[in-house]
Amino acid sequence: MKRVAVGLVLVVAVCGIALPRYWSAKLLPDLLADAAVPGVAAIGVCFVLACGSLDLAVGSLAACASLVVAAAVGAGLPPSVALALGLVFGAAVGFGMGHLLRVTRVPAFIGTLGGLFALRAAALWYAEESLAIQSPAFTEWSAWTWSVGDGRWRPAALTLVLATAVGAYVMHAWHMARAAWVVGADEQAARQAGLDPDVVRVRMHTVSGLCGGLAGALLALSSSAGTSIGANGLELDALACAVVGGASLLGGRASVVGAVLAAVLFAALARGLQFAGIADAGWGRLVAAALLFLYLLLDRLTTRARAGQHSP
Amino acid sequence: MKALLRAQAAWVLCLLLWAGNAWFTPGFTALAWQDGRLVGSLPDLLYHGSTVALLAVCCVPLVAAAGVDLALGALMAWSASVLVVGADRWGAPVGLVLALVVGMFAGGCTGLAIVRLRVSPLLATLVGLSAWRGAAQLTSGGGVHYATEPAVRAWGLWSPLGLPVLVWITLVVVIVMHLVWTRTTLGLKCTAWGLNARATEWAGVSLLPLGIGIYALAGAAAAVAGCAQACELGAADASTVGIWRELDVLVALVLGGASVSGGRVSVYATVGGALAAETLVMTLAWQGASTATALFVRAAVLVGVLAWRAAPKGTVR
Repeated sequence: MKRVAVGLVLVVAVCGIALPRYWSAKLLPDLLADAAVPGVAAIGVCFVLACGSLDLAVGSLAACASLVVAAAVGAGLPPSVALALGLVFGAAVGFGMGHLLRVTRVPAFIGTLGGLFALRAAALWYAEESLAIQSPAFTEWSAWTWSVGDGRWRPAALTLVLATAVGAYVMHAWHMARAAWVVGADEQAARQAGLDPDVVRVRMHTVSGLCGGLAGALLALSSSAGTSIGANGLELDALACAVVGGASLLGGRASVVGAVLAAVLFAALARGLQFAGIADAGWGRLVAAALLFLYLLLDRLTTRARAGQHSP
Repeated sequence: MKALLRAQAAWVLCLLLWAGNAWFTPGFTALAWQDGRLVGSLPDLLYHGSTVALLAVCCVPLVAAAGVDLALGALMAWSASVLVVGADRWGAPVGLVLALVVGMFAGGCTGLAIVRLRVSPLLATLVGLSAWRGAAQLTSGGGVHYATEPAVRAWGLWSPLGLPVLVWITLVVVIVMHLVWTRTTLGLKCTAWGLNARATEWAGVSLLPLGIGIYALAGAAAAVAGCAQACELGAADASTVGIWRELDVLVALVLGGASVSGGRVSVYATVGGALAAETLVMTLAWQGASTATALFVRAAVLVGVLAWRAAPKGTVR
């Protein structure tokens, strides 16, 4: 987490010095709003990574959840209920997927990869491309801002701050999350200590689903539409944020605040590219991949491989 | 009998699907000769199946080594873009060579990261998935890039003995891979790596060249498949070439009885799995199912087969 904070300060400083008008009162709320969807998804991914599992279905799940929100608004429900339904949908799907993994004993990466494709298919069944939300009440919600000086705080930015605080608290205070760290570090030891790894994993997948649902609700809120093709690759962004934030794919190590800071770091970099006049999607992908690679390289150079971490 | 059925499961499934199609799909067995090319459902199936078979067979070593390659589709897109853009600039042969070099280079980098940096194959190829797709968009300048070089289109139409050249390339690769896999120590080394990496290293197998080699092989296969698609269409679309191909490859491997946690995989059964997987997809298309349905069915087959296989023993993790 320290490392990603240093990286964030460096990126913001370098971009600010190199690019005029990068630093402004708008920077913080805008960065938080940009980082909201991957950041919220990354919080959920932290929980599954902590217990040594994986969730590659977050992106498709967020797309489905945004469709649920759009459909609920279309059915005449108030915006608050519709957004809550998106969250409930996410948690339910996360629970279902965790339970499916538990029952079938399929490796998590294959099971959730199947979830990625199956949920995307479900979204495509429901809507060809997107489902516009035409409701005055919902538009009011999505256009709402809180002005502080020049900065305009959008709902997504505030949600990210709130979700980070809640996520960090839950990660340390909830007994199941603490159990997840034990399960992720050493499943056999967790079993000996009287924990049920299966139950812990199902809970963590539920949390990840809930966060995916929240990401979908934010998507619907920011674009005033449910999307069936959007949030493509969100699972990778979330995973990258969690790993750069200090989580280990081998389990037993994760940091909610680190993951969100990493999401803000990626957003700061993307904004820097945009200010430098390179708003190309291709460059964005390449730079993000290069940054992740650089992080892995640094991680390898600075920490000696622990025993048992000899992954092929 | 049971052992025989297990070893041949993928081929049995494939033949069952073909028999079902012959019964239910009108014109399935119809063949015609048109412009020096065999046309019909079966040659179609063979062509599309050979893309999956080529990729899956070249993934056999890395799957045996407990790896996975999710970047295949993105790498197909990058090499397709390189071929089309390179052919425009320096001529088609240079474009083809460049595309192959790009494929092997990208695969080699992945292998290097996996062995040297100890990155998990899943994460390394997810990074690749994003990076190669981005590189493809940069190479082709975003959007669709049409080939102006006539040789590119001519290669796409080239069909010795009535079948597209990709089918013949795949046939040769499958035979060579089968021989290499069963007659040389490559299979042994990769399988050992998949079962216990550290023990394999201590037994004197140097993982670095092996890792770079097997991921470069998968990269080269992706390059060939991407080039074939670019030649067939006479264009490269950086954002759609090879999309969802990694799912097809995984389904093919799993139908062929491969264990995704490494150590057990066969070239022969994988080819059957690839043909069965592609037959399944095309059957759905012939029956009028949407692409979303086909996507769902593939995902369900992938998880279902693994779940069914994991059930009696309880632990495949």
